[in-house]
Amino acid sequence: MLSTVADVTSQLEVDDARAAAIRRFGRIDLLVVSSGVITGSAFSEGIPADWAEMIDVNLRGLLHASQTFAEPLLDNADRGAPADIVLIGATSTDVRAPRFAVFNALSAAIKQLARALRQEYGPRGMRVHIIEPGFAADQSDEHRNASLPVRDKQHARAASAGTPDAIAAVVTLAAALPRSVNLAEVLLLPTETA
Amino acid sequence: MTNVAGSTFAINSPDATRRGPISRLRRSPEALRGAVVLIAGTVAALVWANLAGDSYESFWHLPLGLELGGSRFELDLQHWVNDAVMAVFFAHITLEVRRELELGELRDWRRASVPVIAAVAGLVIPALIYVGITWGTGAVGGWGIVVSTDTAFVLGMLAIIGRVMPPQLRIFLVTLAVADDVGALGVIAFAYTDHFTPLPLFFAVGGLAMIAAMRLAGVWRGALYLLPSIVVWVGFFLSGVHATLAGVAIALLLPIFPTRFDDLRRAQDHVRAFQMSPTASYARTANNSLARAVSINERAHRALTPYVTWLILPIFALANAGVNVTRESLVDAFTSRLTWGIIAGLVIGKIVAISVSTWIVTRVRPDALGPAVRMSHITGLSMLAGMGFTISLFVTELAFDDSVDVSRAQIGVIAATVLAATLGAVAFAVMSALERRRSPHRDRLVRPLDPSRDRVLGDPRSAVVNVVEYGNYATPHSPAAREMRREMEGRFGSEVVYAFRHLPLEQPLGLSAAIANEAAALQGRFWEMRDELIREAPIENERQIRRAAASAGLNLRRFEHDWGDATGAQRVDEDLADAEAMHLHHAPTYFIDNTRYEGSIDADSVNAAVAAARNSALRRSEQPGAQAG
Repeated sequence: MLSTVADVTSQLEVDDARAAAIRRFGRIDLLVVSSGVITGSAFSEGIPADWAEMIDVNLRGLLHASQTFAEPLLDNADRGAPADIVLIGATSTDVRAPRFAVFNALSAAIKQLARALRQEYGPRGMRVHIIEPGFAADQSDEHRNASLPVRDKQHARAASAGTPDAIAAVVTLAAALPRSVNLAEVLLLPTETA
Repeated sequence: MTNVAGSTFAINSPDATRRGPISRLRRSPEALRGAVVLIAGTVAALVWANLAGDSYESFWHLPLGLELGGSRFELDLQHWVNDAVMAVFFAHITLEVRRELELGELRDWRRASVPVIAAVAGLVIPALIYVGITWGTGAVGGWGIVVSTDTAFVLGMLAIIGRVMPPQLRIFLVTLAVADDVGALGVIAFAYTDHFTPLPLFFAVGGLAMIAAMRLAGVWRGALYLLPSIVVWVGFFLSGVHATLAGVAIALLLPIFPTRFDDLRRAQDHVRAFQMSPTASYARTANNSLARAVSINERAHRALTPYVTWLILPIFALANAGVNVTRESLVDAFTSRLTWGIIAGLVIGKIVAISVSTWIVTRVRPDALGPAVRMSHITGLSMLAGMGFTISLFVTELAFDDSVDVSRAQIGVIAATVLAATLGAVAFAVMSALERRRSPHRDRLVRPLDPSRDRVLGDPRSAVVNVVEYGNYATPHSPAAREMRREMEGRFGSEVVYAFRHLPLEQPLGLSAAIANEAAALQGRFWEMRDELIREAPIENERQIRRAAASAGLNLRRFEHDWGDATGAQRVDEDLADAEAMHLHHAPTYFIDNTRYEGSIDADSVNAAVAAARNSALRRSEQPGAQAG
């Protein structure tokens, strides 16, 4: 067990985390990228600095992590060992709600990235998965996901089906499948509102 | 206001952050002035001593003292100078020695070893020659006269005659002089102390303990150290150990440390606060925090320097060089073995000792002198080293009581100093002439700017002036490429093209940083990386280089592969070889239109020179047109 703190928007800190993990374990089998912030408001009310933050964390952070860890993962794949990247994206159940336009756009970008990386890395023996917890404007606070902290309570009550337990179960399943198949895209929706 | 603004500038200017040989080099005119003042003091003493009457002798033997109740403390004027005032001179030397030991040249034993070995040989061999010549006479005890080189004189001479010599020669000389001073202090302490009474030394020890305690308590106000210093001096004086050594003991205790970044930042904050509200209390905190950022050793050294240069050394010369020059005294001196012992010891002894010992070391370790300094330089230097003025005269007073002996020794010291200066001047003049003949175009750029090879800013096709910098990442004050670019675009548009080449000198990670910069160029981020490296400067660990790479937006994995493979090393080596061929010894060095820029290194001066080059280039290109029209 190794826990280390790194700011995903800093390439150097992510690289330090990679180095620390390799020092501790010698190799890396699996990368789960679950970085994200969310702010919501009507687009016309949106604050550009909030967009920049979402782009930095949700997209650039994910790019840094994927690129930085790709090297040791590919080393693993070359040895015939497991090599998986799991990107946690998001899908909105209510695209008509205009409150999360930028967040949704980024989520779409992440999905597209996952597909492209799958093409690039699949032939080299590394699987890229994307898990998209259903994400919806919600009336209760009960389902709020810790990994997607709500930034702006006034505007948004966000929740998703992706409780950490549920996501962990999917990650375990994806990693445990035979290496010849890839549980490529998972849509994880809340039972009640699905 | 002006005062504090001046101090801020000192922090921001590169001069403030460079210590040791380079700052000494910058101060070379001061070294020159020091030597001139010392010569003036000597000449005045000689003239005065040879005036009719005995005003010189009687003046310097006037008693001056304190009387408290029934007890008197009295010395004649010459002893006040030699015992009390000179304590400050020796403290000044010691401060310099300590600084060199902890922060400067002597810290790196590999580099310091050659001049230190030469200095030791230069202490022993002249003394042996002197003893050999005066053996059997009563003058043998004066061997201490020939051991030490006069730092002020030699640095001054080198400033006059050694201008085209490599700066490393000066470093060699400073190291040699410092090591030599240590030896001389030892000689004075152990060989010339008589009637030793240990009891008063307890006073001195008490005073020293007080200074040590103040040092531990972090007292940084220099004036507070004065009182215990006087106690120490009195203790030394009463014990019979030469009282000037009190200066040495005190200076050894003064704390020294490199300027700490936190202190520097605090000082900057205070200055900024003062700028925002210029009140007396902010002025005071700003001043204090600026002073605190520099160790007391350096502040003391700096504070003492003008007094030593302008007051203490000339007064010492005035009080000690006044030898009565008559036909008889000269004939007597030049027929005495004492005088010839001093001349031979200082002139021949120093030449043989320094040249031969250095030659032997270079046989064992061929790279010991570094690439810039040659054996001929060392020989020239060894001739100058025979100038043993101040400490020689000082030891003369200690060694001899008989006025005939003193006069012989003084004549010998002055003759040796003049002879050594003349020999050294001739040697350096010959070497300079040879140097000029050998490389007449040393100020030309050997490899013209080549857009296909060099890292270039601006458009080489439209530019009328080219600027090539040989630089490194030594200080955070190097002009950032971004500023340079903005400045050049703003002032000169597309008329100037600028190229950067590597000159990693002696910084530990300089070469590594240069190769890292080239690795960034493989990702098309040379200039961004250079800016980030400058921001990180001084580069002290590899993490700073990695952080710079991340900030420059590089792919870190690729960068580390390229950096580790040293892909850019060949280019850096080429730049270094070119710089070597052109005798570039400090960075940054600029070439404007292939000609070396010799002015001061700040953005304004460099830009003014570039503007001048551009204007003359534009005039040149207009003239043919005007003639055709």
